[in-house]
Amino acid sequence: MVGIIVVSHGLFASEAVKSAAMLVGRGERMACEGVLETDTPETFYKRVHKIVEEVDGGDGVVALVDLFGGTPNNTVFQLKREKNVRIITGFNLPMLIYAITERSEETTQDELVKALMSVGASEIKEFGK
Amino acid sequence: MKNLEFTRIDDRLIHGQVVAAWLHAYSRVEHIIVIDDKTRQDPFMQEMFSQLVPAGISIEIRSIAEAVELLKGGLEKPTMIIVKVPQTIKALVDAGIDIDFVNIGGMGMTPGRKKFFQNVSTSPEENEILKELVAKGIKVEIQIIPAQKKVDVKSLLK
Repeated sequence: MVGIIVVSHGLFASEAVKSAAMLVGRGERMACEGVLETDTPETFYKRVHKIVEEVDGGDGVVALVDLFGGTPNNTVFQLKREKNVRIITGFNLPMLIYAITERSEETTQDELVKALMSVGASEIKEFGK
Repeated sequence: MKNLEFTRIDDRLIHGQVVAAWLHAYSRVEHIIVIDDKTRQDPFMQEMFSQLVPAGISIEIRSIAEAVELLKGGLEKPTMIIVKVPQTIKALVDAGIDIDFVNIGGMGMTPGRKKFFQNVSTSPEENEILKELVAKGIKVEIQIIPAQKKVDVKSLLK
C-alpha cells in the first residue's frame, strides 16, 4: 500500500488528521509531522525522514503538505534523494478523507496522486448559492 | 547599494516565510540571489529553490566568490539577498560590498550556538561578527516575519 504523510507548519497536519479520524477513522500507513518554531532544518528533516520510513512499505509515499514552497514542502522534497515520494501542496480535509477511505492495496502511487489532486480541487466550491 | 532591497540571514534560505511574507512586504523585488557555497555545489537543492520562486521573480544561486564579483558590478533589478549565516555577510562586506541593512530571520540552535534572542541562536564567533557589522554602521535587526516587531541586534550585544 502506498503510504501517506501529512506535513505542515505547526499542528495543522496532526489536527487535520484528528479531524479526519472523527469522520472516517485513522488511515493505515499514514503519519503526520509539523515544523515548530524551535526546529532547525536538521531536526525537522530527521522527524520527517522517520515518518516516511514508517509508512513506506515499498510502494512509495504520497506527501500532503500545507503550502507550496514552505518548509514542510522543502523538507519532504529533500527526501526525494533517497525515497520514492510524490508531493501535493495545499491539502484539505476531503483529500485526507479520500486517502483514508479510497486507498487500497491495489492503488498505485500515480493513481493516488492524480485522484487526490482532483478531489482536493473539486471539493472547493461555493455552497448554497 | 542601489537596488539591494533586502538582505536576510536564514538557515532555510527560501521557504514559506520568505515566499508568503517577505516577498509581499518587499513587492518591488524582482530578483533573488542566494549566496551559499554549499548550495552552489548542490544541483538538487538549486533545482528545488528555482521551483519555489513565484512567477515574475528570477533567482540565482552563487558562491561567495561569485557573488562578490557579481555585486561589484551592481544590481540591475530590485534584489533580495539571502544567506545562511552571518559569516557570508562578513565575507561580502570585507570584500567591499555595500550592505547597510541585514535582517536576521532564521538561525536555529545547532552545536556551538547558544540562544541569542527567542528562536535565534548564535555562536561566539557569530556574535563577534554581528558586533563587527554593527560597529561598521550596518543596521542588523531580528525579524522573523514582517508581522513581528523588529529587534535591533545592537541592543542585544554586550
